[in-house]
Parts: sequence; structure tokens; C-alpha cells
Amino acid sequence: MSLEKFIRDHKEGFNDKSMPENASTDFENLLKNELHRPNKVRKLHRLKYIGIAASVVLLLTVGYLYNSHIEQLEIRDNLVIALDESDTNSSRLETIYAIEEEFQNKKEDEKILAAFFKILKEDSDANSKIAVIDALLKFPDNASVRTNLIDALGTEKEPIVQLKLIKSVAVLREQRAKVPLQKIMEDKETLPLVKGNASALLAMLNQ
Amino acid sequence: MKKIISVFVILLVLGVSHSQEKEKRIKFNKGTLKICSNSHMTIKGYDGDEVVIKSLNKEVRFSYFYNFKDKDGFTIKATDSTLAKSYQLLTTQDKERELEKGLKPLGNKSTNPEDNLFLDITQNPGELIIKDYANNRIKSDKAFGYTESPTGKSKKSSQMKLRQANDLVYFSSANNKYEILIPNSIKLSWNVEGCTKKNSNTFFIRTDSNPWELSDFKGDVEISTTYKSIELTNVSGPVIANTIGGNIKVVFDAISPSKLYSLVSNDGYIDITLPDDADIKVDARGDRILSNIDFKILNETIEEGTKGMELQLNSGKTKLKLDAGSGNVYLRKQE
Repeated sequence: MSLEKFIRDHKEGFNDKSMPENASTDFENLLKNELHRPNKVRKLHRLKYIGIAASVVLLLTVGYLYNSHIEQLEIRDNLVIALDESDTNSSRLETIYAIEEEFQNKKEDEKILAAFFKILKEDSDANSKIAVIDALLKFPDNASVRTNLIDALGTEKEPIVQLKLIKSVAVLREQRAKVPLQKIMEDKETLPLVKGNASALLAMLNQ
Repeated sequence: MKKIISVFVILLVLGVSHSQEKEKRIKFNKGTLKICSNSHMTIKGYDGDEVVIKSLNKEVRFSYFYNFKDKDGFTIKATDSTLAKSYQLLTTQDKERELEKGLKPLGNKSTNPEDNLFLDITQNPGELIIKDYANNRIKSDKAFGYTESPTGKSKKSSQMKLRQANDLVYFSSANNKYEILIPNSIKLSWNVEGCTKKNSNTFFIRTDSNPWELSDFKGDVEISTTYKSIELTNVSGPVIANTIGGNIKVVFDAISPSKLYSLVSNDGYIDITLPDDADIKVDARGDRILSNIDFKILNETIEEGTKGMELQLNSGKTKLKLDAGSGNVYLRKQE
């Protein structure tokens, strides 16, 4: 007997549309919920979950950024302390290079700038001063950087640092450098090469 | 303004002195050795506890200075005539030499410049300073063959003349040559300008053919020169060196760089020979940067006509910071 013939012969037996006795009422409710719930409510529920997830992500991101900022400040403070406490010129230089790498392409930090200005003013070794000048020149628009470089030009006595400062001031095209340049040229103890560079820059600034 | 007329006569220089003591040994194995000398020096590190100075001069030259008079009434009286004094010095030398046979001068201080190989040697706790002899010898009438008696009131004029004389003395010391052995346990601070920041008294001659040399040294090094080239061979570092007008050559053929190298040359070149397996990160700046080493290029810039490059070889553990100013940077593979 084919299946089609069997269904046709027992048609009445297939008319029972009620749920079997043993089916759970729970299932019925679930089915109702699923089939007859309005779309709007479902969307709202979905948005709620997304909102919670987004909040968690946001919270984690803020926490991460805050932590990384705190970490960055700690690194900065440690490096600035190391710079201040360097007992050899080589360890000071290593710290300057580490600061340069750590804060590459970042906004200038006042605490680091202050530490660098201190090195420029102190009787530090020439290579440290040159490294600091290079680091400072990354912020040509910072007013205190410009002022400190000009001040250093007026006080520095080490010829190789004087030459570096003259080149820096030439890059900045600082008119305020005229006075220290004149002073360098009038100083009898200035190396002739330094005098020549100072004179050339002065001529350039006077143009 | 006081007008001072000083006439300096550099007399028949040639105080020829066949230096009897050609080598000086100083016990020093901890602290800083400061060399403030314009003399040509070759320095080598070794595992010992003495600084050994060898004079490479066949004959040491020094100068007699006669400063006769200035307008303030500062008079210098020759005790004998100039020539007579020179004659006396030369004739007594042979006799003294006979008496000195088999003996050596004690300590680091001496009235006779020969005893310290025409160097000023001062030893303080943790510090040994070696300077060119001429720096304060002008005050010694014995060495210079005259006595001086200030007849005027001006002490200032006297000081000024001494300073002028000092300037001249620098000229004579540049001819002296030494070889120095230094213990690896000390720090070397080598300045060819007499360790002062005074510029006007630096007399220089460009000497590309004979660089000032340091080799096989394992301690901290700081070198500063003006118009003098330096060559470092197998110096482990850390090294901080700078020069105005000189070149810097560094060769690693027995060791690899393992500590910081910071080299600054205002307009000379920087030439470094490296082994293939060096773990270095090079931050170089110069007019041109040339190499036959297969570096990984991390960054490259041109600012204000100067080329800057960050290069890495292997792990990049050791930093080499090179600033040749308007000179070139050469990075060579060890053959």
C-alpha cells in the first residue's frame, strides 16, 4: 500500500489538531511567544543587549586608556628621575635616547622639557646637550623650547655645542638670537669656526 | 687702558734632552684617568693595574722663553746671558747623567720635566690627570733659564704675560708622541684641548694621516678633540666622542659592539667597520649614509639638507648614535 492511499483511507485520523496530552504547556507558551511577539519588542531587546555590550567595551577601553596613561606617566617619571640621578655621562645619554624613543611622535611633556632644559643649563657633557637639542627641535613651535635654546646660545662655552645651537637657531629663524650671536662674535675666546658660523647666521637673520 | 708691550723671544729652542727615563709607571686601577693633552698619543687597554707611559720621542724638545719687558715696569733679568745659560745647561747634563745611572726619579712630581717625560702628572684619590708639561712650567726659572722680578705694582700684567707664554707653549707640545697602556678597570676621559673650555689658546694642525688612537680598551671612554681625527679599535664602550673638524673611525674586528656608542663630528666623517653578527640599532645622521651591510631600514628622513636613518642589524640590542653633521657616515662590513 502506498503512503498516499494510506493517508486517504485514514483521513479522519489526521484531523486531530490538538496538542498531545503529554506535551508540555511550557512549550506552548514558548511557541506563542516566538510566533506572536511584536517585532518592535524584539528589536528593543536586541538593542538593550548591544547597549550593555557597548558599555562594557567602553568601560574596558576607558580603563585601558586610563591605565596606559598612568603607566606612561610612571614611565615618564622614572625616566626623568633616572635622568636627574645619572651618575655617568653614558647613563645620562642612554636615558635621553630612551625618552626620545618612548615619546616619539607624542605631544611635548612639560616635565620632560623641564628636565631637558636643566641639562642644557648645567655643565653636562657635549653629547648629552647635543642629544637634548635634537630632541627639543621636534617641538619648534613651543615657546619655552625656543626661549631656552636662545638662552643656551648666550651661555654655552663648549664649541661643538655652540655650533649645534647656531644651526638650531638657524632652523628656527629666531630673530631674538641676534644678541647672543653678537656676544659670541665679540668673545675673544670663541673658536674662529664658531665665530664664522655665528657671523653667517647673523647676516641671514639681518636680511 | 693699559698698553703693554711684551716682546717674546723664543730662543734657539732645542733644549735637546736625551730622555733617560723613557717609560713611567703609575699604579692606578680604579677611577678616572684624565688626559688633557695636545701631544700625539696611542692608548691601549690591558688587564693590569698600572698606567704605563712610554715616550716615543727620540729627543724631547722644549722651548726657552724670554719675556724681556713690558711698559708697566715688569722686568725679567737673565741670570746669565742667554747663550751662557744654555751652554751651562747642556754641559752639566752629561755629568748629571753619569750620576743618575741605574737610578730612577721617585714620585709624580719633579722640578725636571724630563722625569715625567715632559708631562704634568697629578694623582688625586680616584683620579689621575696627565697634562702637557708646558701648562705651568713657565713659572720655573730653572727650566727656562731666567728669573723674573716684578718691579712694578701690577700683578695683573704678570699673570697676563704668563698666559701669553702658555699659549705659545701649546705649540711646542703638539710634536711629542706617547704610547700609553691603561688598565681596563678605569674610566678614560681624553681631551686634547687641555680640559678647558677656553678656545683661544688652542693651536691646531689638521692631522688626517695620524689619528689619535685608542685600542683594546674595555672601560668607559669620553673623547673630545678639535681638528684631530680619532681611531678606536676594539673598544667595547660605552663610548662618548666628539670632534670639531676631525674624523672618527671605529673598527670592531675582534669584538662586537655591546654598549652605547655616541659619536658626534661637526663636519668630519664617521667610519665604522662592523661584524655581520652585531646586534645593533643605528641612529645615523649626516650628509650621506653609505653601507654594504644588509640593514633593516626602520626610518628615513631628510631635514634641513641632512639625511637621517634608523637602521637595525639582527636584534638591535646595542645603540649606535652617529651624528656626522655635514660629513658622511660610512658603515662597513668587516672583511
